[in-house]
Amino acid sequence: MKDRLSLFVGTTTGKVICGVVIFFLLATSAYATAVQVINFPALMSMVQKMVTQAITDKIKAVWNEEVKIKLEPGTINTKAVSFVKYNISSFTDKMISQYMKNNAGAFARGDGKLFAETAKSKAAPIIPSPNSDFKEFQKKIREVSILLAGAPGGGTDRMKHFTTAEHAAVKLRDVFNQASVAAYEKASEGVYVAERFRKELSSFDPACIDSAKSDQAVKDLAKLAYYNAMLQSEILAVMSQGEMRRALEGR
Amino acid sequence: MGLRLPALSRLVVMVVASLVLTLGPARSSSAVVPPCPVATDATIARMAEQWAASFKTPYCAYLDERRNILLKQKLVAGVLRQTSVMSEIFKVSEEATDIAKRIKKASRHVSLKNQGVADMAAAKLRVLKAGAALTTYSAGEKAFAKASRMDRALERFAPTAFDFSSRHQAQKDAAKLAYLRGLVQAEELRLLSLLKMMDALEGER
Repeated sequence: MKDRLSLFVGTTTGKVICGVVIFFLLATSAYATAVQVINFPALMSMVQKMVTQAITDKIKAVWNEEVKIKLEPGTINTKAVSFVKYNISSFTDKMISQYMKNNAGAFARGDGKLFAETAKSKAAPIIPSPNSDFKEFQKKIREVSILLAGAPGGGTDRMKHFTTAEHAAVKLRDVFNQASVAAYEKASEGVYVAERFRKELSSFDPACIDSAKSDQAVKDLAKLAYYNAMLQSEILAVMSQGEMRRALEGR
Repeated sequence: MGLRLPALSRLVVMVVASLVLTLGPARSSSAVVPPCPVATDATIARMAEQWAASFKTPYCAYLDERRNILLKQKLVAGVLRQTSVMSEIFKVSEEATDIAKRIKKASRHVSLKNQGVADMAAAKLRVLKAGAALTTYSAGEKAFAKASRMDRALERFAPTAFDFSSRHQAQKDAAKLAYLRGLVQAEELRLLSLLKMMDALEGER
């Protein structure tokens, strides 16, 4: 069989057939390579697009999830916190600039009716409870402020024979009374605010922060820093108002 | 045996056979030569999908894994555990120091009979001052007790623990401490305000 094949290959026909087969193999290989080389950029471009799209989609999904977490509110309910709203300053300003100017102190010529009514009223004087409504609280504070402001002195007519020192002493006493009213009202506001803060925030359990995400804890921290700043500023206001009054004491 | 053809005919046969084999079966038959996988658009798309999936799967798995680790870190509790106990200290009601009751009690001892307006005002202010003094003393006593309890509770915690905790835990603890500081400040404000109220009620007028 081997001999016969060798004999056949040795013939002209055999040589032709072998030549054709070799030519066929070489040509096919060259064609396939050419096709592959020609299409490779198309393949890579498609792969690149698909991979880029897939990765972009994934990054978007993860980022959206992260943003969602970052946008979650903190655990402290700020709507339930109202202590920052209470301010008695304008109320006190009116008391000093309107009432005390005309109805209290040595220079006032008012009839002192309100002072007399408050002094004579049978209701026992009270320091109002911070648990009451703020308006009611203010009303009770005002009664004490009227007593602190004192009665009208009748004006300068009674001071004709006063020396300079006596004039100064009278003026300082009036300023002292004003400072006492301001300090009393500010301190009352301080008591009210402190009690409200305690009531409104003591229902919150700080252990809740542990079970929330740290992003929420950061928000709660910011809110509490704000509340702390409010309390600190209230402390400063009460203290400074009180110290101003103390500076006028005994003069 | 041998097939005898003229040389020209042999050449023609050889060329025709080569062309037929090259352009015909070689293009369509997969049996002869392994097919080029990128020969058609469909094949290219299929291959691209396989490649993309092979890139995408480990990348997405990596991202998911990182995200889950981060989420887990965010949910770990802080190291300051006794904050609930500490906040309980400040939840004690102040109702026992009922201001109105104390002042009413003090006012019973003041006689307002046959007195002028100025005397009555002074008497009322004296009653208020006595009430405020009682309230301030009581508030001071309670505040001191709370501060002592708070001190003891804080002493049990070593702040160096923060050095060994994660940033996320430290953030949570910072929030809890800010909350406790708020309660302490509120107590401080209350006491200071009562003191200043009492101050405002005394002094010569």
